[in-house]
Amino acid sequence: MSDYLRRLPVYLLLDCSGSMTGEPIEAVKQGLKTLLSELKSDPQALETAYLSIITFDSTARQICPLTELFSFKEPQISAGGATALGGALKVLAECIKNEVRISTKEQKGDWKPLVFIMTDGAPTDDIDEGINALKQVSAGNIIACAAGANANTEPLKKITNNVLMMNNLTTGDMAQFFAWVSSSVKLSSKSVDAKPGEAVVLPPPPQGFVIVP
Amino acid sequence: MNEYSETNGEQQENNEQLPKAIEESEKKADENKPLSDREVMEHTANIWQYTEIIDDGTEMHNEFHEKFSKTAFGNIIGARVRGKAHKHNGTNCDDYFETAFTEDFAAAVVCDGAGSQRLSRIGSRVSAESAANYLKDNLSELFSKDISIKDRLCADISSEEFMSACGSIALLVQNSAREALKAQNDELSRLENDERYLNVLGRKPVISDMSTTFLAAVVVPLGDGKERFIACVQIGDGCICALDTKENGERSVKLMGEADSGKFSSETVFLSQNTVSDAAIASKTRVSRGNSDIIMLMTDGVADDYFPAAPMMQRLYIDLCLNGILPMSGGEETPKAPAPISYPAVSAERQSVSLQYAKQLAEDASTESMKALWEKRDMLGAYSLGAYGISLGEKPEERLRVWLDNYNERTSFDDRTLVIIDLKDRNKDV
Repeated sequence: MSDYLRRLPVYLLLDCSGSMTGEPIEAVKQGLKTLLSELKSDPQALETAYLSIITFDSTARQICPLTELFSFKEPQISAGGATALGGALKVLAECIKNEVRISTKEQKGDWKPLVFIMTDGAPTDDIDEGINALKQVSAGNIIACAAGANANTEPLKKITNNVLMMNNLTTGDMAQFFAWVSSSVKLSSKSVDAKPGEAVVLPPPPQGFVIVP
Repeated sequence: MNEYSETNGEQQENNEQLPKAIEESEKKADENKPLSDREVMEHTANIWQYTEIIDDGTEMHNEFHEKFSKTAFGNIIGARVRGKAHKHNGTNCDDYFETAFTEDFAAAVVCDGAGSQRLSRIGSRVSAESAANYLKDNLSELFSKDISIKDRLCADISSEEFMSACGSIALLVQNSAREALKAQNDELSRLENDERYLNVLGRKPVISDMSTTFLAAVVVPLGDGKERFIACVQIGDGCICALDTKENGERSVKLMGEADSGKFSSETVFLSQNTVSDAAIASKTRVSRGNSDIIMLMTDGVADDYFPAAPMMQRLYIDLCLNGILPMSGGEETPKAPAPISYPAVSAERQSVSLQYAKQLAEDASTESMKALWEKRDMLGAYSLGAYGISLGEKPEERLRVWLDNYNERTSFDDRTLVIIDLKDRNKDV
C-alpha cells in the first residue's frame, strides 16, 4: 500500500458475550463471510475500504487490525463472558488514534471512519470513560445496533444518534444486518467525493429493524 | 494478527494431501503479504462497469470535453473526463473548464461540482463559462485602455508601478469568482420553477445545490517573452501550479493556491458569498512573476494523484511528456524497459489502453526519488509512448483526454480536469 493512499476505515465492534452463544454467534460468523464477499465484488470498496474487527466479552480487544479487503481473513470468534462495551470503545479510540491518518501538508488523510457497533445486551462496565476517549479522536460516523429483546438502547444513544434496533437474534436477522453494513460501506465508498462534514448518508435499515429516536 | 490464521480450520483439513497443503500454505503466505496497488487495480479493472448517464430531464453533461487554442505566445490544452465512479454509477461528470485568450493574455477557469450536490454540474458549468467570459472581456478592456500596464508589470516588484498593475489584474481575477457566483444565482432563478428540477429534487432548487470549487488563472507574457506575470484565485481543492521546466530542484515548482481542506479527506470549501468576500478572497489570491513556462490548473481528481504537489507536479509534467501530450525533449530512440502498462478502458468498448507512468521510472514514491527523476527529465525519451510506437490520438487535446480517461491510480475514481497553458513551445508548430 502506498503512503498516499486515501482509505475508508471501517470498524466493526462485535458483542461476543455469553448470551451470544449458539445461533447468534454462528450467525455473526456467517454474516462476516457474506459481508466480505459482498464488498469484494465492488471495485470502489475494494480499492478504498479497510476493515478492522474489535470484539468484546468480559474484556475488549482488536482481533483484526485495519486491513485491506484483499488481505482480510475471517477471524475465529467465540462467545462467552460479560459485555465490556466501555472497554471496546476505549480500544476503538486507541485504534483510530493509531491507524487512521489525518491530512497534513505531506500526507493525504483517510476518509472519516465508519463504525458499526452490534450488541445484544447491556454494558457490564462503565461506558462513559470509553465515550470520553472517543471524543478525543475524530471517530467519524458511528452506527449502533441493539440486537434482540434484551439489548438496551439507552447506553447506545449516549454513544451516537444513529441507533438501530433489531428485534430478534436469528440467523436471518443477523444476515440482514450484515447486508446492511455492506451496503452502507459501499454507499460510503461511493460518496467519498462528497465534500464537507455532512452527515453520512446510509441506506434505509432492513425490514424488522427500527430506528430508535 | 496471526492468532487466527494459525488456528484456521481449512488449513488443517488439507494437511493429509501434501502437494495441496504446500500450495495452500504458499497461498496463505501470499495472502499475508498485502497486495501492491497495481495488483489491486489489475483485479478491479475488470469489475468497473460502464453505465450511461441516466436522463432524468435535467441538464446532462457530455462524457468528456477537450479544447485546444494556439495563441501568439503558446498553447492552451484542456480536457475533462467523467470519473470511473461516475461511469460505474451512471452519474454525470461534475467538472467543467473554460479558457480564453487574446494576444495579451491567456486565462483558464476550472471548476469541480460537489459530488454530494445534485445540480453541482450546472454550478460548475455556469461558473467556468461566466468567469472565462468575464476575464476575456474585462482583461481585453484593461489592456486596451491602460496601455502602460505591461511595462508596469515589468517594473521592479517592490515599485508602485508594479503594485498598481498587479492589483488591477488580481482584482479582475477575484471579480471573475464573484461573477461566477452571480451566474449561479441567475441560473438558479431560471431553474427555480422548472418542473423537471422540482420533480428530480422533490423541492425547489437552492444555491447550495450548485456548489462548486473555483480555480482561475491569468497569464500575461512580458517583454521579451521570457518572464510571465501570473495571477490566480483558488477556492476549494484542486491545484494551480506554475512550473519552470528549465529549473532544477524545488525551485521549479510554484504553487499558486492552497486547497482549503479540513482534518479528514474531502472536507473542502466552495464558491459562496463567504468565500468571495474581500477578506476571504484576498487569502486565496496569488500573484507571481518569473520564468515559469508551464501553468497547470486541475481539479482534485488529478491533483490527488500528484500529492504532495511539491514536488509531485514535476511527475505530472513528466507523465504528460511520456504520454505524448507535451513534447518530449530527449529523443525517441530504441524503447527501453519498463514498457507502458495496459488496462482495459472503463467504456462501452473496454479497449485496452497502454500508458507510461513516471512512477515506474522512479526508484520509489519518495520525494528524493522524484528529485532524481526530475534531473533526468530530458533523457526519458526511450520510455515514452512515442518510442514504443504508441499514440493516444492525432491532436494534443485528444491525447490529453485519452490519458486523463485512462491512467490508473488506486482509489482515484473522481472526474478529472486538467488545463495546461504551455508557454514552452511558442516558436514551434504542434
